[in-house]
Amino acid sequence: MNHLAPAPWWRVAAAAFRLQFRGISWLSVLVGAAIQPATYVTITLAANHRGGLDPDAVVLGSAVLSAWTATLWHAGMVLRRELWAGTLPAICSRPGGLGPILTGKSVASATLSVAVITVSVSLSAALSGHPLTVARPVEFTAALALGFAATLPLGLLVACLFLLTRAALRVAEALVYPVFIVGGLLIPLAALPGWARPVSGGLSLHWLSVLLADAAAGRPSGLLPWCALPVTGLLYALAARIAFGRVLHRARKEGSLEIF
Amino acid sequence: MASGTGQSAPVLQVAGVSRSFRSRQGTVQALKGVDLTVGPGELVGLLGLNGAGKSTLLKIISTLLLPTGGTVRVCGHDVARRPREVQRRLSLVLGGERGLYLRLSARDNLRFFATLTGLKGPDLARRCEQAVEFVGLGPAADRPVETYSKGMRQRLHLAIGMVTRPELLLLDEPTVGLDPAEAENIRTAVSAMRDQGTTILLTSHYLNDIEQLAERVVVLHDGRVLHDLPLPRLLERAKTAAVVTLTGRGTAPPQPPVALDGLASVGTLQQHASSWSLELHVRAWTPESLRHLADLWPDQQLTDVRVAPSGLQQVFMELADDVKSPA
Repeated sequence: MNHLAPAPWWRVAAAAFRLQFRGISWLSVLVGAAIQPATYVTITLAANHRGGLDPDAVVLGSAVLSAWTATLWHAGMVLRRELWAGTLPAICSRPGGLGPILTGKSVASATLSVAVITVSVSLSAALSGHPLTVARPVEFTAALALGFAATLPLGLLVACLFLLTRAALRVAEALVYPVFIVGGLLIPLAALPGWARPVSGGLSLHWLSVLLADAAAGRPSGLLPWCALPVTGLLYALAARIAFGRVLHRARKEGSLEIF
Repeated sequence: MASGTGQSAPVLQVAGVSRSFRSRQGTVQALKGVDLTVGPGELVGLLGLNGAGKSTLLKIISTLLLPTGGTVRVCGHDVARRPREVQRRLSLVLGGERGLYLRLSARDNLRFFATLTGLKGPDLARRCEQAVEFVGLGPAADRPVETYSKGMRQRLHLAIGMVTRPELLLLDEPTVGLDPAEAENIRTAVSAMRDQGTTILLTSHYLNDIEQLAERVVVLHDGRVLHDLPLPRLLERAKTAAVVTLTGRGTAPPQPPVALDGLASVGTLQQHASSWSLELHVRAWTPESLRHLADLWPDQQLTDVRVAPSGLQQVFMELADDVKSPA
């Protein structure tokens, strides 16, 4: 019998990425990443015919909101989907490791959604007569990539919480709009009560929207948002790692999490 | 109660393994000091009633669960301390329709799971091809798995389990829910893997699987090994040698005269539209037994006497009765 050398984590993640892409449900991508964001943009721009809102902010806000939500939920549901499919025993009894697989699959589905959302929002905005102009495309792209990388670990943290706590899914659904508000996407941060404002500093969503809005408008963002965004991502990653360890501990040692 | 075979190092060593689960209702002891050794190339059947601890044991061996006591070694590697080394050497195949990516093809599923175990490049493609051919899925290998029948899905599970040529293959209920033809396909494939030298630990509720495939049978009950014997020796433990089914014409006798030498027990008398049947469990069956029966039932117009030698099914049912109602 030959003993196969264990696959490096990146090969496992790449295999999971490829698998996720091949099994993608195009209908859900079409509805969730194309039609829904396009509808938000078109309706909000149409409702804003008197010009009370800045059209660029409407377009950018809709795109960020959709992309952040898609990244978070795709990563957040990845573990549950494996549980539903019954593939966790086969995955966890093989040396590839669950972590690289969840990462590869989350990146695949979130990347596709974000790409489709970007195209959908841009097209809808252009067709509505308000094409989004980006004054600093390099900073804009860098902020987008950094925001994606910082939000993904939050999704993986949420994925673990969804398994550890039965009510977590409902709690997360209930928190969506409060998070949008505290992140400054629905109401300007200046309009929030003083005690709520510091909370936004812990949200990658807030720093991402600051950086994207500044890059689109051609304003310099300063150092704080550029540092705060990766720091929030690292904190999420640390918390996700702890939660992931807890999931495996409860499943393997305590046997109190029936995922196998 | 452990019994291995041969002189070579065992592939699987289970020593004093216990496992408990805590719940709100209290602590449940699923395994209570299980000992088991499986040598290279052996095919061992693991039998037990529901709740006997079979699945828990398989999960511990496959590194999905940690034991609360004792040790499990696969090819000398401890499942708790060196799970990655263990995972490189075994494959767990679960029965049923789940555990596959249904929107993807058999090839996609195979490639993915094989990659997790370390296969890559041309070797990956070649072995995946061999695996789909081995289980007879070649022509359907590019179809989405959601279009597969139960049997085809089970064959795919088996292909995924064998594609990396593991040293130890754990098969959990491989023929569950399959029609007889598909179950036979699975048994043929498992038999071929055994012939190629793969060590296999097989659990099944279909005793036919165990009887046809296993050389040795381990019976688990209430978290303990009740018997660990070669199949022929386990069959010798049957309290009855055969089940004799008598069929007669017309109305059944109210009190069947069954004072037969070697009779162990009398089954239920069944009355059909124009016939009746009765099962007798006998400790011994000889030509004299048949003559004796004919003498005992001269007026009952016996139309058929069928004698089925006791098999594993019978032994298992007797063991189950014994453990349910200990003397």
